Formats: sequence, C-alpha cells, structure tokens
Amino acid sequence: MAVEDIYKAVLSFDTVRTGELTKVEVGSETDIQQILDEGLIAAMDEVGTRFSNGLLFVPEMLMAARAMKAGLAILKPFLAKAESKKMGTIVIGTVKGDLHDIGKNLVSMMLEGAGFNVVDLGVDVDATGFRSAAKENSADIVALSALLTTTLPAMEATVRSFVETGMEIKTMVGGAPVTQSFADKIGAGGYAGDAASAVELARRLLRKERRVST
Amino acid sequence: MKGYPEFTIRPTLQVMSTVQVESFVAAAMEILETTGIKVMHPVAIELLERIGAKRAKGGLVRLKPRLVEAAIASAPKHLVIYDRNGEPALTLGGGHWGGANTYFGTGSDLKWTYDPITGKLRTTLAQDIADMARVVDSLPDMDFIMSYGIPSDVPAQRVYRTEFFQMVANSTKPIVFTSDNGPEARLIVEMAATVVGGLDRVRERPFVLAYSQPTSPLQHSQDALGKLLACAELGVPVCYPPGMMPGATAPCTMAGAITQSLAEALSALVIHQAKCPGGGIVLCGAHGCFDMRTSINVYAAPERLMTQAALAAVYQHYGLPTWGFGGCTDAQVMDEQAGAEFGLLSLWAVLTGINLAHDTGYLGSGMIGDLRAIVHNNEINSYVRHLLVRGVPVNDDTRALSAIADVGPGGQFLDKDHTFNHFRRELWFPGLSNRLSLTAWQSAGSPTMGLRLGEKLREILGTHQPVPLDGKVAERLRAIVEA
Repeated sequence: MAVEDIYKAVLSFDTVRTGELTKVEVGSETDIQQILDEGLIAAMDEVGTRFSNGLLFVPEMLMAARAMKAGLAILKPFLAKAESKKMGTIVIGTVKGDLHDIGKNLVSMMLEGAGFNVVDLGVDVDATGFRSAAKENSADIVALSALLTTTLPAMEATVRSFVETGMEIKTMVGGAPVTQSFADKIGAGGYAGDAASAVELARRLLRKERRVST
Repeated sequence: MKGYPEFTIRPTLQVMSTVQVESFVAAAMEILETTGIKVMHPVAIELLERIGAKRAKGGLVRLKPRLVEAAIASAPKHLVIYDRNGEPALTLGGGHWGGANTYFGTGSDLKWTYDPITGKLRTTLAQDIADMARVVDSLPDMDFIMSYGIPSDVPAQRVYRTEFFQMVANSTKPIVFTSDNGPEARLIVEMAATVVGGLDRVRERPFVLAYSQPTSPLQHSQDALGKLLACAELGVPVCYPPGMMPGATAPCTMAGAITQSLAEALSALVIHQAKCPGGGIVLCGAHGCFDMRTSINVYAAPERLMTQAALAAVYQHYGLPTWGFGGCTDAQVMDEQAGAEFGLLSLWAVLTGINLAHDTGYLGSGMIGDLRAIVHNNEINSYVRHLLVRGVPVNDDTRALSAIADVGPGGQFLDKDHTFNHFRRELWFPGLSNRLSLTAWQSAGSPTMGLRLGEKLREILGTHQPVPLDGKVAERLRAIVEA
C-alpha cells in the first residue's frame, strides 16, 4: 500500500522520499485525509512511541518531523480549510525578559511533527504580543516557555491577561523553573515537563477545547 | 649513598600542543570575524565600535582577530582573590599548575533541597543558604562559595541580595555571586563594600566575584553584559564562562562546541577589556551537554569533561584564569551514581588544572542541593589533592635507603623512626571513607557512607561557628536587603 510507504519513509527519516511519495499519492487521487492520518500523523505517533521507549533520540525525532512536514507541505493546498483548522493552531513563544529558546524550539518542532499548525513568536514576547498573535491566527492554544525564574511573573501576567480578555483559548506552560503547582497557581490550562509530554498535552487541550465549543 | 636526584612526582595531563591550541583560537576568531556575535547592550556596542569592531544589523558585531589578541594580552594572568578578612585565599591564572591552584566551590541557585534533618525533598529556603555557607566555611577542601540555593521564601526582587547576605554572614571564604542584572550586581558590590569598609578595599583585596554568561549560540544579552560592565567599572572580577549545550545550542561535535565557546568567551573578553583594561576576568566553560534521550542539560557526561580539558588548555596557554566544574551529579539523590560522578569530576578538575571548580555538591543536573554532597566532595577533594597536588616527594629521606638497609630482609617497618616520622604526611587519612574490616564495620552497626555523611553534617551544623560579621555591618546589610 503506497500510503504505507509514506509511513515507512517518515520512519526512515527520508525527507526527499516522503515528499516524492506524497506527490505520487496525491496525483493518484488517494484520499488526502487518509494520506495525512495514516501516512504522516500515524508515523509521527510511532516516532513518539519509539522515542518514549528510548529507541529513538531527539535528532532522529526531529529528522522524522522534517520528513513529515515535507509530506504535509504537499498536502496543505488540498486540505479543506475546515480540515486544516481541525489540526489545531498553537502560538508559542518565550516570555518577556527571557532569550532562551532551545526548549521552546524543540517543543515547536515536535508540535509541527504532530500535525499542529505552529506560529512561533520567538523570544522576549510580552502579553500583548501573545494576545494579538493568538487573535490573528485564530489560535486554539497559547504555549509559554521560560528558563529564568525571574521571568515567571511575566508568564503569570500573560496567562492572566488571556483570562481577563475572556478569549476562548487554552494556555500551556513549560520550562526549567516551571512546575505543575506554579501552572495551577497562575491558572494555566496545563503544564508539560518535556517536549514529548507537551505534544500529548496539546492534543488533550485541543480535544477539551473542541468539546466546549461544540 | 650516591647522589640520586630530588624531585616530586606530580603527573599532569597533557591535552593539546601549542599548535593545536592556536588552531582553535584561530577558528574562533574566524567565527567572530565572519558570522559575528549578537551584542544586546548599547554601551557594549559603542565600546566595540570605538575600538574598531564592525556593527551590522540587529545588534550583530564582527571583530577582527587583532581585537581578540589585544584583549588576551591586556587581561591579567595573575588574579589573587582574598577572603572576607583580607587574607589572600586563591591564586588564579598563570597556566596549568597541576592542580595547585584548583579551588573547589559550590554552585548557585538550586531550586530544590533535601532537608538536612528530615531528608525530604522541598523548595530551597534562605536558611539553606546560611547552612551551606557555614558548612563550606568549616571544610578544609572547599574553598569558595556560591549560593547553592534560590530562596523561595523571599520576594523575587530580594532573591540575589538575600543570597549574598546569607553567604557573607556565614563564612569568610570568597564568594562568587549571581544577580539578575547590572543594577543588582552593583547593589551586591555595595554590600560587599559595606562589609570590608569601602569599595576601595573591595578593589584592592577582592573577596567577591560576579557571575554572568552569554546566551548560546553567540549572543550577549543586555543583562549579562550589564553585569559584566558594572563589575568592570567597579573593579570587581567577573566570571563569564559560556554555558552552551552541545547538540542543542552549540554544535554536537566537541570540537565545534569548543570553538563556539571560545568565540563567545573571547568576544566577551574584548568587551570587558575595552571597558576596563587589565580588569580581572575568569573564562573557560560552564557548559553542559544536551542528553538526546531526555532533553536534560547534563553535568557528568564524559564529553563535557573533555571539552573542559580542551578549553582549560587554551586559556592556560595564555595564562588566563579558568572556570570549570567540581564534583556534581546527574543522579537525583545521593546514590551510587552520585558517588561515582563526584569522584570522576573532582579528579578531572585537578587533572585539568581548573582554577575555580564550581557546582561542587550539585545533584539532579543542577536542580537539587544536599549538604551531605558537599561534605562528601570535601573528602574526595582531599583524596585527589593528596594524589595529584602533594604527589610523591622523592629525596634521600623518602627514598629510605638507610631504613631499608637497617630493617633488612624479613624485617618490619611499623615501629621504626622512619615510619613514625613520615606516616602522617605520606599517607592520606580519610575523614569518612570506610577503612574498617568487615567484622569491625559490622560491630560498628554497618554504617553506610550516607549515614556517616549525615552524622558529619549534623556535627558541623551543630558546632561550627563562622567568624561573625560586625553587628552594625550586619544591620546595614539587612537594611539593604529589605529596602
């Protein structure tokens, strides 16, 4: 089955082959959603499982994500707007006063690999920046990262500002100084301690958000 | 008795040749000349432009090799750090002294602490910093102090000044302090000046150093430079070692990480020396390693140790003071992994001749403190120093030809003068490590090292009195902290 070949190409970290096979499948009028779900997203789910079991490492996971994105780029024009929206949009950034972004970048890449549409605002982003980006992109989730303990107040302020504006959006937080209890204290939608759990959390939050709005 | 030579056996680690060292520096200078670095402090950019650096868009600055060479030339190769009483305590720089000027200190800002009484894991409190300072103050093979904790029981704006107060009030040993920006660094230097009677005294006999770092790859943030510039201006030595993670914020190859680290540190040196030619600065490395399975910045990876050796070799080549690591662990608790990693890293610190070996006693990849770990490392440091710094003195007396002749075949040495005269210096006496036989150990209750460390810690906390601060000084410091 050709969709299965796409799945294998992602798991072989083969960006070129994933793109080519996806083109072929699209050309053969295979169901776009099937290619997406069974070829690309299923492959990344397997990557995630293998990573959690210590069989794959971060650079390999990111290489698989790169292959997946190559396939996704071919599918994008064919995905109906509603389908595209279904994948979920996440706005992510490092909070005001903090320049550290390696963790955020890793989470960003993993979220993209999981099929989310990710808008990465970079570093040193204030509450207004997060809010306007969330609005402009009709984001489902806002993800905040920090490394410095001194920037935790900025994280709190950003989360609270979303609550105050009454925006229908979920927030998730992470970073070395962040804990579950801090996340609970500031009213964040969730906390993840590493990139893999961040993907799981994002999926959970998206399902919750979908249930609320339908 | 023939004229045998006299010498001391002190093996040293040869890491790189001069040509190899210089090739790394040349490659680092190539990065600075072509890719450049991001400088996010307007004063620093201005300083760099004034000395001929080229500014490009977005705070990017390119430096020509001659600027780096000039900065290396002007930086001091001999930096004496004093204690709170004004006595010389540490001598930094001057190349690889085989561990003779390797000093061990704790690290800063740990979020979590294993309670010394209950053993339970909890957030760190200001009192933990005070206890740690008192413990380090009492230990002969711990030489300088960093806060070892971020106090969760004080308001955010008082965190760093509280750390400094607790350290300076509970020990006379030199302090490397952290702060969030230039103004806070200045305030802490003001506190130091209050302790010794004026900024001039701090300058003449510095007992404090500031800590700062670039943001890898290739960025100097406004706050990091703020601290560097403030200290350059005040005449207080600053430590500015790059803290990259190979594979994440630096190349995955150690050779690439070393080169990038040099680019970051040497560009900071240029800025620092432009502000204050001849000002004291400690470089080298505070980098970790990005674990590719867990995404944790780890401390005890062998590749991290190798980059430390290589970086030390470069800075020692120029005689510049070096920053590195003492015994610390990625174990979350004082277990077998912790013991092994403490031993390896302590040995490595002395073998690589690092001047300021920090983070001694760190658990959990830089997240957890346990005062027993400091006591443990003190013991290991003592062992390593006996091995490598004391070495083996070889002379007519120690060669013992007379004693051997007197005792003769089949004799024994236990009750001889020669043994009596030498044993206390030649042999290392463990404070805590077990030397009992099995039955003796069992009779003593089968105590593990962990148990013995706990007992020793309780003894120190119960009895050690550091030299206190003058009452009025303490009052003025408290006023600054609580302002």
